[in-house]
Amino acid sequence: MTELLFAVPSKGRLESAIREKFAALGLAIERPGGARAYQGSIAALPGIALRFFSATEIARELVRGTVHVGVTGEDTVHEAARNGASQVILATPLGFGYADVVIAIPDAWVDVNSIADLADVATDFRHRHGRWLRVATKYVNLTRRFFAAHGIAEYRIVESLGATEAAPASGAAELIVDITSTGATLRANGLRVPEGGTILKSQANLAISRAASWDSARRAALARLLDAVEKGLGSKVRV
Amino acid sequence: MSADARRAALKQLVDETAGWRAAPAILQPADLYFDLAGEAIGARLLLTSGEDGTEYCLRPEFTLAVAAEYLTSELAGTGQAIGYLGPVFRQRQGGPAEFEQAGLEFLGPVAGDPFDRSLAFAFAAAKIYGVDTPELHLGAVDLFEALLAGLDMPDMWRPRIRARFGHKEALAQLLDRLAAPETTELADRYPAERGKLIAVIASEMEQAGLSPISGREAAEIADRHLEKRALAAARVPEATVQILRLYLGIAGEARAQLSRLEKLAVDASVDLAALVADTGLDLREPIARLASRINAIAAHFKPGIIRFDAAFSPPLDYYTGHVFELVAPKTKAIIASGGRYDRLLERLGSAKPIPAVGCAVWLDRLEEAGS
Repeated sequence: MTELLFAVPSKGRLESAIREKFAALGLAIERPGGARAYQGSIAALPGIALRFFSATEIARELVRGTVHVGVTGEDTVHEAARNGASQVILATPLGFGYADVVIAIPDAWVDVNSIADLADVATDFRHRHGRWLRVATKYVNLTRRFFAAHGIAEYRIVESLGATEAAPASGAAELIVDITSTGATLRANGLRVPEGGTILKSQANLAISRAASWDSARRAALARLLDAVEKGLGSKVRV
Repeated sequence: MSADARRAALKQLVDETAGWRAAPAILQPADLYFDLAGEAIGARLLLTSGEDGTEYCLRPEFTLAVAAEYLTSELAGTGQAIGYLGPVFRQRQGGPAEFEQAGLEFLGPVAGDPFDRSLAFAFAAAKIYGVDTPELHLGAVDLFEALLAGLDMPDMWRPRIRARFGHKEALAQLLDRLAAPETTELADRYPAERGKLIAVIASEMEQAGLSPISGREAAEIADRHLEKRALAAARVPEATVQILRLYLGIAGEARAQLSRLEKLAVDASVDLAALVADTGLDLREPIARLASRINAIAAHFKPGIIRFDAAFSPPLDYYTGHVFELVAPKTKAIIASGGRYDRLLERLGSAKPIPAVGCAVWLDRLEEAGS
């Protein structure tokens, strides 16, 4: 088996986006068993075996090296492992799946315009309330890295796997770090992004695993895949 | 001598120095570490959870576990010299997540100077591993706290600056902000009168459905907003920022730094004598403490070099006095670290202050440093 394992999202918005994009590039994805199948192929690219995963699993599989290349966003790569970003090469941005990882605070925090303000609030909060300021997020690694880089040490992360934007209202946390594409959800929940509060701008990428086992056949297959996608993106469907 | 024999000798050293050896559970409540050290240590914990959702971690070090056990036992408040040796667990880039530490905790009033006893232990441990003249790296949290308490600035900045002591970059960023003016873009949109401002913020919070019983309160937000406005008018004096920067830049061979500290007139433009008159700042006592510490260390332990670094402290705010690290000359690795943390037991819930000094050595780094 020297096939190149190519992990693509199995369902949802990302699945249809990648299917449409690859079809437009002349690289139609074949999934013989339908939406429940977990294996597939691309007729135009022999030597490549498609594996369907849920979107968040793809980054993890890339970090572990159980697949060679996959469609995933930078945000999930960072969360798959603390050293995730060094295990995966983001080769080709695909022009969809745009999302920003941002800090969002309640609108009513009229004293906070910047990240520096947030650092002060964290210190003051601990002195005033005797506990840490809480940040609800599923982006634990990104949050820790960004906060550390900005000198914010006095906080605790509350892991949140869904409806993070509701955490300040429910009292589960004082602020959040979450993904947003239009900002509408944040606004609807009375939250705003302070100046400098964008942690990461992410989009779907062709991402290559460093940890996977590579041989010449797989390298050649990878080169054909990247060539076909980059040529296609460059000439016709640049979004 | 084999690695096993060295470990046995170290164990004997622990038992000779300490009254008894503690063996806290390997599985510890994660909150103990998160509550005292926040996400900085949280990122390095090996976490696991119980069936009921309780979060546990594999103990990342001994000090907090030993101190917490002491505090809940009948020994609380009494003078105890407690030793330990065993595995600890941390996520780390170089080396396996499991490694061994040995050390001492002097809790409550004990015989002799516990800092000297910690140093003696660290030097003796280094010797067992063939590191005869380690470098000594010294810091003085008490000196920084005395300086901070005496400098002229609006009071709200003192805890913010203290919280960043030991985080060199974070502290530098904060000092840059103190030197530059605050912005208050939102100022015009909100009333300047406190009562009205609180009402406006409270109604914004209510509209957003923010929980009124948890999180930041309207008064708290209003006060900080008003404080920012006030700060735009009355900023931290330039001389204060300049002195803090000069102070934090003092680092090098310890005795040479002492004379810099005594003058704190590294730059001709800052004259400590003038400052004392202005603010009542008096560092003579903590400087004298540091000087006698340095002299005693030079006389008793004869380290390769004694370095003093004014900005050096573990980034944990329960440290209160002198702090140290031993560095192996060959590998440049930190093989031992310790210091005084008189605030620790109160942070853990003690009703009254209990003095604490301790020290830990890394067995794997000692092995590497000596081989």
